[in-house]
Amino acid sequence: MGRIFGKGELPKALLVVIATLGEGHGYAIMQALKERVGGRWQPSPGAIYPALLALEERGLLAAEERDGSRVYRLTDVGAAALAEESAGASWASLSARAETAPRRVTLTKLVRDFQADLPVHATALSAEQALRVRDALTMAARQIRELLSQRETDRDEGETNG
Amino acid sequence: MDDFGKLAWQELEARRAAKRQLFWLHFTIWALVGVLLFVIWLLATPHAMPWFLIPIFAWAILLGGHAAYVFILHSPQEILVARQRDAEKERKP
Repeated sequence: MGRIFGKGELPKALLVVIATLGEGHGYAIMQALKERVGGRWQPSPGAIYPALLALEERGLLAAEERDGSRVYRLTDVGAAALAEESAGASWASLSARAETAPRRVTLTKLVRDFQADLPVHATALSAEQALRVRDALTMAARQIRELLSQRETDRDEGETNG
Repeated sequence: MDDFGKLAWQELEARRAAKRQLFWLHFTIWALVGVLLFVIWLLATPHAMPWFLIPIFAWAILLGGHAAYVFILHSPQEILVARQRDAEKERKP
């Protein structure tokens, strides 16, 4: 996936998203940003987290620890900075760039997205919950393996026929 | 560091590991080409000046730059996340 955000666009977009959410932890902010940009763009924590830290260092965001997660919200300085910018204007061009960016999806990326979509990450599970979650994940892993081996078979057959 | 931060750290670490692998591939190619040029010099012109050293030294300068980029320099993202990680480690020993 190519670069969607130009210089300085990601922090601006994050401020807009956090202003819309009110407050949120990293996953929620990343998910909201992904929905806002749309298209094929797959955000990654490696890009979002440092951007959040940089905004925090500049005093535009405040973070507090809650249930093992850092929850971010705009500070007064951040809200003022956002009001000065016409940040909303760039969403259309971001979406257009996300739509035309070449697709490069990997299994790792999909697993990371799946992890990001889980509601609560640090919650301890009961024994029964753990068992059921493990069963569901085992079944999903088996289906993925079958799907990938099927793709390999199709490719081999294609090469043989071609 | 929360789960999101840990994931970011792992992602940045993976990128660094990929950069390191690329550097060692570069180093291996440099060494192999060096040996090849030395053998050519030895077989073809053993009494001439060791001309093979010129491209090898020139390339070594580029290799040094690559090593500095991989092992010494850090991206702003890496610096921010590492600083946060260290700060949290200090707070929770």
